[in-house]
Amino acid sequence: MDEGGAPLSSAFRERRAALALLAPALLFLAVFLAYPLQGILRESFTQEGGFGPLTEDTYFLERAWFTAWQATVSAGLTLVLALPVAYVLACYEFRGKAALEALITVPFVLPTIVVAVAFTALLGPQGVVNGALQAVFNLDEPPVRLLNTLWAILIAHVFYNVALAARIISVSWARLDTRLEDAAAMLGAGKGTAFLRVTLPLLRTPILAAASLVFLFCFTSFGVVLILGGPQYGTLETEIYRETLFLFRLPVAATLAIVQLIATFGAMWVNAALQRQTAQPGAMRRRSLAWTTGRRLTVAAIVSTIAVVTIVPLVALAERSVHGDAGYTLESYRRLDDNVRQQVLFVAPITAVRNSVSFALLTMLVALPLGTLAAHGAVRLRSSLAEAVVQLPLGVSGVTLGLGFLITFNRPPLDLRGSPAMVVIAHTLVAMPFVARTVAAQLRSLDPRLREAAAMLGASPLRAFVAIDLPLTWRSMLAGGVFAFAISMGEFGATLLIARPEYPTIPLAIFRYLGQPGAVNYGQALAMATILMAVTAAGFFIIDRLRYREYGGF
Amino acid sequence: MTDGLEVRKVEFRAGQAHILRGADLCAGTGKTVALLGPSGCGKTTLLRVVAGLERPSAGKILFDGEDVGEIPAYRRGFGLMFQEHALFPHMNVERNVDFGLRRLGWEAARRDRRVGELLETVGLGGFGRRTLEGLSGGERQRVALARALAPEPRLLMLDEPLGSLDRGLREHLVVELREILRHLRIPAVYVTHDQFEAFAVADELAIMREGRVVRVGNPGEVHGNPRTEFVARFLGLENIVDGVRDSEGMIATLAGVFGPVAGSPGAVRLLLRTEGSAVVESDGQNVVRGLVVARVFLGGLTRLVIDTVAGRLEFPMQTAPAGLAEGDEIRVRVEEVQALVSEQGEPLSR
Repeated sequence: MDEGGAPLSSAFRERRAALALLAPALLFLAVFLAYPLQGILRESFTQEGGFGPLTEDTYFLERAWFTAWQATVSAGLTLVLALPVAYVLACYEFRGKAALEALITVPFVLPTIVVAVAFTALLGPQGVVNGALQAVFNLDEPPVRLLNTLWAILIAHVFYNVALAARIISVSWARLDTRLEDAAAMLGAGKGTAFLRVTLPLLRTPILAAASLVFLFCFTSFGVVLILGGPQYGTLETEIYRETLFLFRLPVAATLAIVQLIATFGAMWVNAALQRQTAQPGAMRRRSLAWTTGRRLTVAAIVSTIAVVTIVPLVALAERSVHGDAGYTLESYRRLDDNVRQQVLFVAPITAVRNSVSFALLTMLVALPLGTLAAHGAVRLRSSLAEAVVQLPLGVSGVTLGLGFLITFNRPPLDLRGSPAMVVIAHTLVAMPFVARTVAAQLRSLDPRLREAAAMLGASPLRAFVAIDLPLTWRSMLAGGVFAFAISMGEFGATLLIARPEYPTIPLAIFRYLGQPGAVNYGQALAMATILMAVTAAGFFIIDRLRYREYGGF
Repeated sequence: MTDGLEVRKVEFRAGQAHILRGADLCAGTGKTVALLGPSGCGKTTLLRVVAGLERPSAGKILFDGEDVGEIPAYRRGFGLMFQEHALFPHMNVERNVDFGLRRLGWEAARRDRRVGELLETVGLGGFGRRTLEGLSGGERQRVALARALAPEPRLLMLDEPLGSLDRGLREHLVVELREILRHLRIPAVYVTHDQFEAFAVADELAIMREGRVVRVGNPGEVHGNPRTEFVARFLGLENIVDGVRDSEGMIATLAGVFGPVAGSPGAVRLLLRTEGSAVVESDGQNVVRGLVVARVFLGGLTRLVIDTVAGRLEFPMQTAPAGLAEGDEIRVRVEEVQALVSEQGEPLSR
């Protein structure tokens, strides 16, 4: 007789179970995200630091201003190219559209280092464009000098983000009621007026959502700015890197990181608010517009432009990697096990490949269960707050994360100095939000009564998970695993700060080789970038086949 | 000790909502109880509490006298057929039915035999290898029934099992379902909001209102004497008028004088039953006078809708007089009247 005892309500029990599922991820975030961020905050307030040097001269103010400025311009330019693409994706149905969508999304999933190297292969002094121009016009000097200019940064940023912006906008555009434009036409508005006065204002929210996301990515852009911008263009992210690794002014780096965090979390918050406004249930798609000659030409022009813009830098990378002085050769690939510099701190590229694959597998091994459990917990809790918390690492740039690790995990209670575990942990932090998102998206569509039906047939919660949840959500888990693998393979910023020279990853090795003179090193960098491109693109196509695309919200 | 299921004073709260407010229910061995009530009255919640999918905030769930409140759903040995069926989409018909048998640890040959028998029982012989996609609504319903029956539950619960089907199919299937339930020799609780389905399938009705079971009885008894206005109206007995009873038991209403009905004098709410009522020529006791508003042809019957001073009344009639037009004055003789009480058993007064 337990009449007196207050029985737990089932809602409470459900909550407790959900929290238990979330617990590992929350614990992981507390130790490996909150703790380092706390360390950064404390570092920025130490005596020699912080805000002192920042206010002494205008250098850092200019860097902050430049960071925001280039992110804004990048977002603007991205929208200019994304709107026509969104128009095509939203308003027309045609054969190969899914393939086109997948193709133009490839740049977004490529590691920054690959994109950066691809642009050097396209536009650099020994790049495809200069090579062609020199050959045709018989020039001694490369005529196109885009590397180490602002334009190189902006072009790479647009290349990176245009598909993301186009997809976000096209989803809303496809749901617009075509009759509104018809109504405008009936009221005497020409096509241009109807677009400017009706369509564009209605798409305001998704356009701003896309812009805020691109702004966020470009604000913390690291590899592109570092490699394509050269020394004269510094953003907050590259400044943190320089202050940490070359000037050893950790308090200054920490302060810059705080400034950057405020900006990124602000952008994330704005983006989340805009996405909430954009989110409309139902997947109503408008009918394809009727094909006229004019429309055919317009669509053909837009499709071929975006396809060329997407493919050319990637092909240029692959082409340069097999380009030798005397025609095409696989020399660079053959020499991947050759440590040309014969230096202690250099390793053969093949070692970097091995390291990267090991880190990626370990990251997958940690991030997949953490993210999957967190997704189950958040979905069962029906809490957007829980989901937001799991997504928090997305607001912390790689370099900031690396800095946080350097200054907090260098002493007890957690002394991880020089441990490869730090790399796996950092990669897991970056990958877990993607795993959680991907799995949660599919879990939300799973009818909870299926689990209950299994329970009524005698299946314990664990049994029900194995018999119901696993077979019905394995696709998203597989996609999440591939995501984690690909993200780990490409992670650059955090790894650059925390990985020991003895165990470089592919992106680190590429970066080092880029900084070395000599055709052999550059060839090896190109070869490794090509391999990395192939691996991540393959991973992306696997995910795409599994149909769990969640780029709409990161 | 009570055989079968006994639910005692079960309370259930979810946040601010007080969904079950002391619900009692019994279902004896071999008996089918129809849990009937308007939507939102807590029928499904009561099933889920009995199933163990929800935990009551107070009260007891007993089975064969044993308190099962602490036993998790998957060990209670109860079967539940879900609304919309909740069939496992990644399994074929056979695997769905087999699911519970695997949990029992039966060997393959025995399971195969049982699955085959069950599919025969529900009229799906030879459907074992089919995927769910190709199945009609009725076929899915049968799979769900076979799946719930497979592990030989000691109690079967059905939550609006025919709810998603169209009317013709429902009337056909409810008879089949009744046959199957008759042969089970276990208690069954059948949730529905449809009184005809409940009458067709149940040995006993349990009528729910706002989280309580307010009336229990066999269908004939409950329909024959609904006792309360809520039950009467819910069962479609809506000819209810207010009146005053005199010392002889005669009840004066605006629609006429009726009775006698035993009881103390005073205000009373009266149900005019329609069984045996007929159109008559002259006024008198137990005669309603009004204007014909509509004649609704119902196949075998004609429903006369008439406006009286006491309100609108309806009388289904085997033979409506010929030549009766809308707007004509008409008198209908009522053969039986019943005084209604409030749910607490007090006479209604207003």
